[in-house]
Amino acid sequence: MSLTDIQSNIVDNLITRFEKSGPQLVPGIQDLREGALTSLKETGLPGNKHEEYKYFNVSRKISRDYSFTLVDAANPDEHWIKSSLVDDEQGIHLVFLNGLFRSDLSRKGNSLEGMEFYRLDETHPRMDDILRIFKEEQQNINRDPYLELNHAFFNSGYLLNINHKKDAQPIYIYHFSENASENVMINSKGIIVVESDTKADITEIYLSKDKTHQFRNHNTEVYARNGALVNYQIVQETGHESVCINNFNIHQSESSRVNVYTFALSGKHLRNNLNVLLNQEHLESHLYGLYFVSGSDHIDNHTTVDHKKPHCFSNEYYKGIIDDSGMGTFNGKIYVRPNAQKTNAFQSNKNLVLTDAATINTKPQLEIWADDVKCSHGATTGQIDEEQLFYLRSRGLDKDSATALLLHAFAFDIVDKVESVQLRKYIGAKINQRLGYQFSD
Amino acid sequence: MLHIKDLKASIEDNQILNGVNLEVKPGEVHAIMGPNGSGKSTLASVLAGREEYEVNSGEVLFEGEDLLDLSPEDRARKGIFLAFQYPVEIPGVSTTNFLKSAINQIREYNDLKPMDSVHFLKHIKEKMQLVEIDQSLMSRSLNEGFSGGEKKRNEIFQMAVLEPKLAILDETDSGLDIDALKIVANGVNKLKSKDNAVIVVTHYQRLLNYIVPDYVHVLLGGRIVKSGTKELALELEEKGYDWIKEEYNTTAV
Repeated sequence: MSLTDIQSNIVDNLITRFEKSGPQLVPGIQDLREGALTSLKETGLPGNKHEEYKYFNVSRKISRDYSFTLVDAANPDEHWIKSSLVDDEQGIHLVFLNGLFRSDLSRKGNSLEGMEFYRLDETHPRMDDILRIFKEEQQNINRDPYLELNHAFFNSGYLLNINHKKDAQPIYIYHFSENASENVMINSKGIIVVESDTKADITEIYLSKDKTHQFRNHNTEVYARNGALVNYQIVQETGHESVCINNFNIHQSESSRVNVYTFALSGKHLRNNLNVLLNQEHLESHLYGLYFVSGSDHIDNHTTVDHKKPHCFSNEYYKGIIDDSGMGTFNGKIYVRPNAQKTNAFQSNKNLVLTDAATINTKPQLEIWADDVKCSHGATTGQIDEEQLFYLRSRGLDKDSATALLLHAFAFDIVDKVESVQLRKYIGAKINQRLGYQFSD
Repeated sequence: MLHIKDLKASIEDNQILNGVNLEVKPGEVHAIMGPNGSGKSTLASVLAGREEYEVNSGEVLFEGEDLLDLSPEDRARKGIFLAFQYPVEIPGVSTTNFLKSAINQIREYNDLKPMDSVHFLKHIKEKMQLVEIDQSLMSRSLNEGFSGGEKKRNEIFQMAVLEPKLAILDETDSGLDIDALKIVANGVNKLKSKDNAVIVVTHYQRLLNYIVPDYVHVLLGGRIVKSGTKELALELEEKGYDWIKEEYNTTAV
């Protein structure tokens, strides 16, 4: 049996399972699903021969007999959930638990003015409109196999439309997983539309209680309309057992600016594909990332910044700490298409590898077809600076706290880029706890 | 306070110190002078506990206790301070932030209660005036983008904050203009008391015009070959090191 056979068997098996246990789909979504299925059947799911997935192979995990019926957590740990929310009273907190929306655990802030929120399994007036745009835009995006899988089998999701007239309330979307059956596959989808000249602050937070086995395959599409300013944060602690694969696609319209901040803090098999499509003029995109890999975690961050039109600016800055026997991957692609003159595109990736057993694979990849552009990239990998460590110890700090202090400084270079104070505190506290950092700021 | 007995130390199999003997008592200022490559910085590094150096034989006692077995942080907690020849830049770490932790770890080691924020701020404000260091430097990343003079002043500032029993100044004068040199020396002099001691490691006599030593030692070939009072420094300034080299050439290993 060849590799391709195995992969297509998996797909056939998933189709059968989905037909048995998948949700009823609202009209319009059916087409999307069928297109994706066709493409999935052709390509299969990636094994370790696949260039983009050579360090990230979950074919064994995906061969299980999954059910697509979402199951509510039997006794959700409400204390854990409540204490995991960002401390922001002005914010709107939307909670999904094991793929199911939980309005009882959500907090709606002061008002929902200027904001529409729908579950994707409900019919609503804007659905046709959104789906049309969604399908059109899909043609411009990487055909990632797990994105196709999500299109084909999604069983959870939301639509968020933001059209604030005044200052935006921050929006937090939580994806909790707890006590979930390991045989459930959650393919959840988020569609976020930020209307023209609107500022929005949106955060998606993925948290698992430890020992949760789950297969989560998530997709968020962010549309920033003309002149929109979007801060989009992703915070992930997906546990030391589960699989969590994400496709984030950012679509920008003229003169918009999007800042994406990814904090991948734990995950046995955590994969982020972040694609930014610069298909109009005068766009600005900032991509910041921090991955903190420990234990036997495996965290992959793949980014693509695709400059298709002139006069755009992109800046990407990712840092990683790899500890224990963890493995991290950073792959950063920048395309500057022939048309995209006057492009400014920058990329930097810095890694600290803390042990002999830790691994980092870093691959910056620039492909430039236009001739009047400014582009740069750089990747560094090193250990903790011994001279800095000795300096701090010679002042009386023990080795552990000196190390924590240096790692803290390395990580907070990214944390401090986040605009929201509440989020900086939230993310900072998680990192400090991991580092055993006990300094006052 | 400090007894160094026949100390031999090497780095990467090169023996640099070939039997150093030195005794420092509370209240004293000792200058260690010598040409390049004589082992001055090695001696300072070995005392502070830099791990690349290996001690081959000999003994260092600090207040009667074996110093060489202690980690760098424990040496600091017992009251040894090394002012670096080349202070490192540490992006993202502010001086005040790490000093507060350092001071409290030192206090904890010595069974003292932690210093609260109010007292700490008052304490560092006093010391800032002492070395004429600006508040803005304190909130910036440690030494990042500092001029050479600012880095050295920051070293003396940290020394003032931590109030060590024994301070070792490793070529603190190098790279300083005369004004900065006076500020640094003035800071060191104000911190002097009958209970603490200073070892000034330097190539030139210049700093010793401002920090007046009780004893001057000449380190040559990893050994102290001549000791005297401050007049010896003046003689070295005038005649250079060659006459000592000639005098001791036959006996140096």
